[in-house]
Amino acid sequence: MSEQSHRPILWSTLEEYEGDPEVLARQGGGDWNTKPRGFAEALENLGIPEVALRRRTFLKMSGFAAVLAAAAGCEKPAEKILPYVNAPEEIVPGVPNFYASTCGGCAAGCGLIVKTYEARPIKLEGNPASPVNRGTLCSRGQASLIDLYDPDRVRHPLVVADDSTLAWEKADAELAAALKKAGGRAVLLTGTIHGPARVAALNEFKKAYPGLRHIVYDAFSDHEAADAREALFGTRAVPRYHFDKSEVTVLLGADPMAEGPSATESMAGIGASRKVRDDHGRKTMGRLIAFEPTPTHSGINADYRHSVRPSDLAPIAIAIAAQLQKDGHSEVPGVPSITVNIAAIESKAGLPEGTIARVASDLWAHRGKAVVYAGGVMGRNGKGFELHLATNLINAMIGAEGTIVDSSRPANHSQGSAASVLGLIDDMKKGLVDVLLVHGTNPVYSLPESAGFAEAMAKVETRVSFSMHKDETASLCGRILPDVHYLENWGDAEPYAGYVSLRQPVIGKLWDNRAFEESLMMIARAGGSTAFDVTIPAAKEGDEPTVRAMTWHEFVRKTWDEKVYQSGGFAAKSFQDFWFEALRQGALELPAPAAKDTERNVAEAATALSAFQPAPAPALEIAVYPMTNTGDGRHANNPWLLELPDPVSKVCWDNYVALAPSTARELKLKDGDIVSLANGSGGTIEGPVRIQPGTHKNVAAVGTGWGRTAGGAVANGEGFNAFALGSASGNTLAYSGGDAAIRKTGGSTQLADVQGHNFMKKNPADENEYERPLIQATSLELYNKSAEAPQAVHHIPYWEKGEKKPDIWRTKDFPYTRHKWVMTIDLNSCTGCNACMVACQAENNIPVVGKREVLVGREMHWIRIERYYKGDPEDPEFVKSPMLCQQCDNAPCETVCPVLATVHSDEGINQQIYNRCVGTRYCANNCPYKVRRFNFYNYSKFRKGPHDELEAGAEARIAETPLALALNPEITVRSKGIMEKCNFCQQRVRSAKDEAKKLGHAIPAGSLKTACQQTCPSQAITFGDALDESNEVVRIREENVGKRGYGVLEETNVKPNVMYLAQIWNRETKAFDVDYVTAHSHGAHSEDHAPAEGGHDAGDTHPAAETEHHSQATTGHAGRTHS
Amino acid sequence: MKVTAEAILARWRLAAIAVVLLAAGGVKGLELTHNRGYEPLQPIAFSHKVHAGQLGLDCLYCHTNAEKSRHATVPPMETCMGCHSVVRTDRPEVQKLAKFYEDGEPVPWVRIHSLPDHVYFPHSAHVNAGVACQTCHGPIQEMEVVKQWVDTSMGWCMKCHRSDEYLRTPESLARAQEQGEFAHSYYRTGGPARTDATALRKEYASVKDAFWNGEQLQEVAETESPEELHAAIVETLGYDSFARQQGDRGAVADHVKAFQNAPINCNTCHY
Repeated sequence: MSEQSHRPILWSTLEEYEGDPEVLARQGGGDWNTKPRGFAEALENLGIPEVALRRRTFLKMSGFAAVLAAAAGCEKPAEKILPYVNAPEEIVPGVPNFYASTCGGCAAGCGLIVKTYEARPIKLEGNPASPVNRGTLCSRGQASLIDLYDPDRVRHPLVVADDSTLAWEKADAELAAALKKAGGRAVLLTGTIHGPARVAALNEFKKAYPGLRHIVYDAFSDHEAADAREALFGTRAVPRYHFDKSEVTVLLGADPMAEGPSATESMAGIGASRKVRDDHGRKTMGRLIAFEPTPTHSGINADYRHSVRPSDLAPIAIAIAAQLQKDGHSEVPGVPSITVNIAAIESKAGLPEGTIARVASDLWAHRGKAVVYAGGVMGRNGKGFELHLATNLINAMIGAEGTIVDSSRPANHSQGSAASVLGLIDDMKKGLVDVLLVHGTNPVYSLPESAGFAEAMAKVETRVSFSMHKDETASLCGRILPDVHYLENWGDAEPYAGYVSLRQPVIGKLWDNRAFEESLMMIARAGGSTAFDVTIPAAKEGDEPTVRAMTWHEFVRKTWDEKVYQSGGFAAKSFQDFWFEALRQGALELPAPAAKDTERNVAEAATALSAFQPAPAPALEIAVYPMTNTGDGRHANNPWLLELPDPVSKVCWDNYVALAPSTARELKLKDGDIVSLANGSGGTIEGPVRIQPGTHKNVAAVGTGWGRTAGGAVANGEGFNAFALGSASGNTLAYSGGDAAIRKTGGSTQLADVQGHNFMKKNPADENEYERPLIQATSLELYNKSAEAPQAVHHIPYWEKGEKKPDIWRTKDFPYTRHKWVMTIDLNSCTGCNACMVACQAENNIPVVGKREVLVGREMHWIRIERYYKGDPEDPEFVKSPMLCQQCDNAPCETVCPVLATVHSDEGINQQIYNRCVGTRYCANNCPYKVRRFNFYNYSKFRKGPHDELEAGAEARIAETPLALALNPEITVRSKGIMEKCNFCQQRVRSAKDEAKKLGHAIPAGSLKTACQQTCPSQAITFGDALDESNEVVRIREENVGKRGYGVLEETNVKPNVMYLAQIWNRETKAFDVDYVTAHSHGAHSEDHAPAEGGHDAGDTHPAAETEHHSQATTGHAGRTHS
Repeated sequence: MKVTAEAILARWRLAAIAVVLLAAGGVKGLELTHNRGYEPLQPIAFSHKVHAGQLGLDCLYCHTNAEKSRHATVPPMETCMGCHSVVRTDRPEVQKLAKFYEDGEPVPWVRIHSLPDHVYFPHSAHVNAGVACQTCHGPIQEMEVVKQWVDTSMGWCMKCHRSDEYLRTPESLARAQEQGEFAHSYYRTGGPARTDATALRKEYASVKDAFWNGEQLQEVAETESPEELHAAIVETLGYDSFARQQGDRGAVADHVKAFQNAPINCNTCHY
């Protein structure tokens, strides 16, 4: 066998692909196989030897402890019960209340349902009434809950210089005087603000101070798209994209799932378009094509992924437009010839010949149901305008305008522009600004240093921040008038014109903060504005009426009366009725605004594109991209998000410089080597290298959102700031592109890559074991030829009816009679976004362990998203598979627990009983899925892991902070020495059952959802009772059994209760679709496995493969019987 | 090495002592852990004997949440003051209570029953299934000072949960209903119990007897059907429930204001 033939087709890490002996040894089991690569080294970093406690010492100590415990007596400490003095009307202790609100995690304006216990929010869920997120929520939205309890928030108005407290009235009066004096030399710099009341408050504030300029700046913004649309259609409106209606979606350097501007919606849309549908007996699904410099969250879902340089993006878009025009394919008339050399663009971008023609004809074939989407930071290399101009032209040509691209409700969530903030810097430098008010944006962090915001800002006399944190910008201000968290606040949002959503406070203010809007109102009043006055009529005739300040709540109500109720056609109800209904429902749809006449300046656009001069293509280009978890850095102080592995690299607690394997080899760099990366225009960063399969060989990709210096105790010092690689020229900001120089510094670090942990595979070197791949995947073509194609590899029909398999229990004597909880996970829908992981963390009080603990394989997530590569490391295919406890019927963990701490319930749930657990960890060793988690420390006590506490002191302890309030009271907080794992949200099952029992009926279908299922933006997870036919899960199981449905490692007969629906790719059939264990094949069953090359006729290969599987399964069985 | 008989004996003796000590410690420890008989002194000498026994107040009058929540909950102090702003205001213990209330301070009651965090014990499931409070809490109506009646160990729970009698099936539920075991479930459950006018009237009547000595409500008690009874209460109280449904909190506020001095509060009717 040549060395090449050992290369696995499905692999999780490069070490595995290359056959690293250390990794192979771990896969072989024997040792505790959750130990990751580099375990010993990481353990050394922890400062404890691998065997800290010898068995004998342990026994001596535990004996002593037992004596002590007996001697000390066991009397409980007296607890107090403190009743309410006056009980709040809505609160029943122990029964959660749910309130509709609006997420403030970003500007997407998703609707929320907030679960509160005794008036403290403990879990966020999507609001089904919201037309934006339709009941789901992303990982950042989920995690924004603990931003509320963040102990590092500013707790009172303060003078930055000495942290002294300021009185609100005094601050307002002084600021009003300064604003009056400054007149036109005052600037309010904010992030995007939308929502009827929020905008109205802002406008009234502007009226109070005539001349005040309002500048909007977002770290990520769509202004280039808006510019391009203005040039093409005459209106600046950014449209809404209905990806769910799209059959062919082409992404050009865009990552709508991570960067947004409406991430949850994009995930839901793309996820929906990729569900396999039945179209007159033929299976069909949407196709996703991505051109991108490095694998992004969206890109890893693509059927066709092309690695290109950032500088290739605009030429590719232009080439597609030119190809369409050349073929006479256009829904809009009058597109002149675009004179570019398509073949040259293809070859420069390294695309296979004919790619552009294929994409163009694919788009045209699905005209009206296809879309091209470009943008984001990655496309911002100074040629962003042309990129957007070309994509919008293509969309017009293929009829996407008006169908997929919907400008009837323009998007409001990205109003910032680079030009205006750069203009502001200029003005500040020239001394033209006397007062600067900053809210909801952090330019000192998110603008490159070369833009000079910090120095320019120093020239402004009065600088006031409304930030919740003393962040990079706020700490350069004179004063901070701290805003409240959105969960403490009233407010509203209008992400798309006419989609309005209300926000209501779900907790009292934790500290002496004040809503930004209320600050505006008070400062306006202090300056003499009467817009925010409430006049109370005199009690007696003859007395003067009294005037008081309006509250922000009253203003929201008033605005909704005037702007929404009166104009929205709700007159049938009283305003009172309307208001309570709106609060209860959270989100409303108003009629779409009148459509504006759009021009079609296609000829001008095409001419402009013909004249396009592509940027030079240097040997190494930088691609800056927003990371799914950290985004623009505003959530950087959120330990849930920092410990959340990146969807692509699976690295947590760090960002990195991603390089292609070949580039890393060339530069003699390995994972974790610290390099310095310069962009050729002054921006430099230093960070660890991450060899990321799928990155273009001429690209160094860096993710944003890290490297905060004043983000808070958790954020500070983690990662590096990728925004430093931006460069400002004229009135544009470029992040990507540039002639990059990379230099090894000599240092190195370990990256916490969790995909290297929890190996489920058996030892590939073991000749006696046949191996079925962990993930089943096939092409749509093969699936259409045979519904059983996804099962083609070692078909083990566990779920088939009437199938008899050996059972270790007397199942016949104890049938499931009441409930049997099962789950299905559709790999086609799963985008790998990790929202389920955070939802699970919030729901189940899962602690954060910190980087050093993750390095030794001790992360605690109950559900993880596994990411596998298929094929060549330079251009791999990506498969994602959520992995959680499979609630096996034949659970291997249960049989090895010496104390019955893990047992099977009569509803099929594999229970973990914490107070019985003595921490032998036998169960974790025996678990084939590696989903059991052990508390090596009292993790739940610490914000950032137990080791941080030693350095940071008591502040690192959760009990010293409000973070303890975020704990779900339904769930035990686990302590040291306890094993834990997913239990299918036992508490949710329990309360649904209790509720149903109380009402005397069955649990209504669809009302019981696990936390992961509830939040899943693309609705990949379905959970329910297999015994209740009205459950969706029963239908999915029946439809897919023996077809797409499979169980991970089901060949081991553990009888998992999670059915995965195989990944179907909407691309041509590849060799490994037919049988991708070919390269693994051993001895007897290798002869029929010659991989078919080029175009296959699956009809020929498939039956052969199937017969062969039967024999193979038999071989495997026989082998096991003998051993 | 030769092992002498003495040495063996010595070793065994030591072991025996250890075993005895450990066993004793264990038994003692377990007993204390389960806290049976725990009878702490409370900050106010509240007598369940007087309230639940002599006055015959229903447990759910104060522990309103027992049928709604996993927690039975100690009542908010406004519940106490609903009566004690007019009843027995001369007693020192009541004055102590009033002082707490005026200061806006909760009474720091000492918790008696405390289950470990990992135990999910829902009061509501038990109350709604018709389990009497006394089954777990003992003859509370006779306790001057409350003490823990049972050991609340898992074994104790299993005494019922192993037996069919307490595992409520639909049939046993129906039986319990017939036997009038449903003390309070009909408010929430809907179901057949709602039509049980006798039980409902009995309920309201007991509330009336205990608290509504005011003349204005005399006629209320004399009405017949529960619907009439409720209508009469609403009418007498002058509270327009419809206004509340409309979301006008002003009406509720008016209502509360009008009856500020009456010996009732919202919980009187709205469990």
